[in-house]
Amino acid sequence: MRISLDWLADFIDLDLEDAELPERLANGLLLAGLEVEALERPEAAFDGLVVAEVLSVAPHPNADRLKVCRVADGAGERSVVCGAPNVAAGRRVVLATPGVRMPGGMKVEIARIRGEQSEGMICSERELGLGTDHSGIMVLSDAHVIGSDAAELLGLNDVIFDISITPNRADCLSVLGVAREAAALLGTSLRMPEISVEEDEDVSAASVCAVEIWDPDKCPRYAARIIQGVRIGPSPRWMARRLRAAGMRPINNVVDVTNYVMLSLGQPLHAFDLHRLAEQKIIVRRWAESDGPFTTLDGQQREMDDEDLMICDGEKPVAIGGVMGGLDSEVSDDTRDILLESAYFTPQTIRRTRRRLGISTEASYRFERGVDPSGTVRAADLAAELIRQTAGGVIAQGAVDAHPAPIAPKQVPIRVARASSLLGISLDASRVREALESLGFLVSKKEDGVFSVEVPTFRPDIEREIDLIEEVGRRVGYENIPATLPASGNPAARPTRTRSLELQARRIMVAGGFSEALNYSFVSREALRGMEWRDEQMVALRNPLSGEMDVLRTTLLAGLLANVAHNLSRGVGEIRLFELGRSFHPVNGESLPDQVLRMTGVVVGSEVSQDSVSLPGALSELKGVLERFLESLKLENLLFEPVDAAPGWEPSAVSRVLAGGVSLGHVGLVAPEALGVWDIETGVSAFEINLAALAEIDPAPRRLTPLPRYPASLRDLAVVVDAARTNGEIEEIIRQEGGKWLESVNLFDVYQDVALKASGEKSLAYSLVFRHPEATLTDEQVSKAFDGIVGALGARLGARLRS
Amino acid sequence: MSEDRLIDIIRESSSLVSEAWTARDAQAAENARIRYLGRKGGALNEVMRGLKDLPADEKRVVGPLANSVRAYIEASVSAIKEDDREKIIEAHRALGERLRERERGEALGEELEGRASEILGAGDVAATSRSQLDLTIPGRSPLIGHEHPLVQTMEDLIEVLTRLGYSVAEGPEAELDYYNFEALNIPKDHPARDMQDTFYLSGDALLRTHTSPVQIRVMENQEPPVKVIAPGKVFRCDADVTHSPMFHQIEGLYVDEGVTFADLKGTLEAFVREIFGPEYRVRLRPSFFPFTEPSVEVDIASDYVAGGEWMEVLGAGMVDPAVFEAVGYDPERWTGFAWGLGVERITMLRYGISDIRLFFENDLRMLRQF
Repeated sequence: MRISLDWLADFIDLDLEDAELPERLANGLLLAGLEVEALERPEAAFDGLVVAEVLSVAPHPNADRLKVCRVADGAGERSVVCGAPNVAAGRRVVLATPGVRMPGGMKVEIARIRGEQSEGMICSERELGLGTDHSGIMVLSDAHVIGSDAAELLGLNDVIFDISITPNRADCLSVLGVAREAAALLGTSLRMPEISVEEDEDVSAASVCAVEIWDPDKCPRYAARIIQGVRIGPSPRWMARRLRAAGMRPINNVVDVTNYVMLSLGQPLHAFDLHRLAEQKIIVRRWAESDGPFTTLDGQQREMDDEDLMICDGEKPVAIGGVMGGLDSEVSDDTRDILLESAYFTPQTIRRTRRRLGISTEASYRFERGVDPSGTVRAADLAAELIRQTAGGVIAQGAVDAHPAPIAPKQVPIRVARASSLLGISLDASRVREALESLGFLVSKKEDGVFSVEVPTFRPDIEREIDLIEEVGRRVGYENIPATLPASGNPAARPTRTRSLELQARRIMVAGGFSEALNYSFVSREALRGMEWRDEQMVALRNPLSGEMDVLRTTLLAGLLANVAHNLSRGVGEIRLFELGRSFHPVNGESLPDQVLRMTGVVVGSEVSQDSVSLPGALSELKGVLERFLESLKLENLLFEPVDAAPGWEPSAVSRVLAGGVSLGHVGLVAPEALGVWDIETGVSAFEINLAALAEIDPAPRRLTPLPRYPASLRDLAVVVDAARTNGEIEEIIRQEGGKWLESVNLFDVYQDVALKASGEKSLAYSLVFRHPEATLTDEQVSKAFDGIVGALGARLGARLRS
Repeated sequence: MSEDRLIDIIRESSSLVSEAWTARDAQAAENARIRYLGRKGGALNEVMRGLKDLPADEKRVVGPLANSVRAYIEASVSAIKEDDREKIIEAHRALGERLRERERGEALGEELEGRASEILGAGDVAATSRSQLDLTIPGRSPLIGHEHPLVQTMEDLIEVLTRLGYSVAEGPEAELDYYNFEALNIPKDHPARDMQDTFYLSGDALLRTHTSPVQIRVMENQEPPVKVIAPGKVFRCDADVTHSPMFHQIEGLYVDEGVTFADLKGTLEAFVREIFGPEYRVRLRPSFFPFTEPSVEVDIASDYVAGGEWMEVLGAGMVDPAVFEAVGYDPERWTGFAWGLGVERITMLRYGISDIRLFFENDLRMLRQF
């Protein structure tokens, strides 16, 4: 909402000479909750802009299009070169004398133009920043005194407050409303301008038109004024200037008056061409099937439904109530007689319709927040009188005011003690009364310490005691309320298991060289499809910003692969990223999807030499960090189990991660098809585990294992097996057969030379540690266990010792 | 008395020896030798000359000790001249042991052995400083990752708030309309819904536009007093340099008997100064949120930042009675306050980041800076 200081001065006494007033007012409004986002002062220096009279006009000796004028500026005469076609002797004009800086930065100086001395500039509207007209110079009426300050006359020194109004303050969507706040904070009183309507006593509005409200729930009040014999034309300069200052484009005198009154008083108005209304009648009713689609004045054809409120004439809809007028009943250049609408529509009705249609107008914006139902006729009166003054015509006597459902002011009680205890400042009754009265509330004593407050109808946001307490707080000023710390409550609860897991996972991943990524919770459906997810496994957004983010992620891998592609394209080749976040999975019969906290990691690069039997370096590193994390949780029965397929994973190179029989996720290589979605050409190793499931598993208690007191016996075991056998199978047999004194098994080599490759075999080497807690093991004891292992490996896997 | 004199000699001489060793000063060592063992006026010699006059039982004690001291001084002096570290340590140990065997000599023995250890240590330092190391060569750093800057800010905030007694609560990102709007006093046809452009999943499910629904879920499940914070991701259909369709918020909620607006102000001031620094000023100005009343925007400013301009960092207010009614709390008995802040905004202010989109590209060149 753009409000000019000059307009505000219509409603309150302001000392416009006070240079500090704008700052002070802006700051005061800000602290009262009207956020002044910008304070616009004139960019030009208009000192020396005067009203002048052209005395004579002579052709320029050296230029056909230029003229040399003698002008009187009140102090004397001067020569000015001018090119405007409409410059003529006797005209009052705006003269910029040397030294004036024009909007746009140009400084006026004494100059020779084509050899002729020019001691100033006669200005056009555009040059003064007043409009777009540059066809000629601006001509003032003869009433203006020569030599007087033109900047003041034209309002060029005006200051504009650009204010952001919160949705609860419908009343401040007008100069009047802002003036009311300003009056309260400046300690002065609001002055409602008197409106005297010059009416034609012979013709009453009621004899010209009729108004029927068929749906008073949606439209409790509708007032109409009739003005006949107007002449459509441009608005007077002062009105056009105020509209422009408020950010509106002047259109014609009638439309401009409706906008002007809306800005001034907050009541949206609509002007109909009376003769385009069948039977000169207004019926306010819901849309009916038989009405068909409706064409609004922007030329759009709109589908309506029977909850929409229509303004109709005797036959058909002519406007969507409170939202937008119709194309066919609009005021045109030929309009002579006008029906002026000033109504109160129920906010919910307007909101519903304008949302459904996807349009927002100045009118609907105000109606859906709530205009003042008591201001309907006053606004119609002001507008009618202004139309008469600017467009001529005769105002029919009275307004046709259909008011089937009057809205009475609310009575809301406020307890002084409650206001004090909620705000945390001791207030006495008189302070509370004074605060509320300064804002236009009518306060009367109900009982000791309790006021009954009559809320004026322009404040629909005030309904409860708490609303009044906020008003008191605002008037007291939050800067005047002390700052206290509440008595300390209970100590904070310990973090949940899920959150501790998250913190621990982050710590270990970062320590292991992984950086943390954060990605959107939504991804593109196409990307997930590329990773072999099916549509029915996804949760779609109804109103996505783009196709790049139209479904919720089913896996964090999608975001991380996008990050991999981003980093690769910027020349970062060594990538270790992880993310902690939720994935989303539809649940039949539930409104909300399953939202699963996961941790996902990816590695690219750090390739060490690899053969076909050992793990690639990146995957090995990744799995190492994952194992470090899982082992830190003291999980029992941690297993990596081959799986045939999982969406997005390379089928022969993925394994399921299990702990205590619970499936936690996958680790392996990302499938080339999935990489293809992001045009990634290098291999990506990844894991994704379900932290929520992990949080469900109770960790084994931490107990100290007594330190060994007897020496260990070490044996190395190197076996050759079929290349298809896994370490997991071999280790399982070693552990089963190694007896209770086998303390640890550690794979230290996987190997395949040409000969082994030819025979389809590989070699794995383990170091085994045996130890007895109470004695030193003898060679025989260890050998027996060792031989048992070798025998079992041979029998069950066809393994033989490497020679 | 001769014994006391010997003890004095041990104290003095060991101190001279220690100094001479440290300086590797052969002349000083020789001077010490002459002082105690010199033919003319050597202090130890004098004691030894007097031995013959002592009673027999005293002679038995002082004689061997004097010999030990002589051996100590001789060995030390030659060790200094030869720069032989082991020899001088041995000399100290030997005398030290000898002294500890005696009734009164324990402390002095320890002192001497301490000196030996000192010499041992000093030797190490001296030896190392003599080998030339180029310490301008960078050390080998272990490969280490980086926490996301948003997570760092969020965890810092959580840390401060936990200290102020707030427990962490979490809730779903995909949320019901009821929790995101209705229970927060934002009915279907309320203009306040326009303040937050919402991503819908279905008629009644959406991506939460703030973490406030967590407050409702907490209050539904817990009787007051309540003191929680809800950190997490939130979503709005909006994207440009300063708006991201997903961003992070932390909200705090405190409900108890007698909680006042003044308490809210004090808490916010304490919090802002913890996070940004004690030099920050805090300004509350009236605003509007459907779920709080009175509602405020919180601006902060420091003389050292942005020319002292006010910056908006938080929204807050007293919990609206309608919210208490929705969760079954008696608004006459309980009052409370809530506040929320955008983690991105704070992180951007903190690190001078101007484009919010940088947070979600996960460019390692950016992440490694944090």
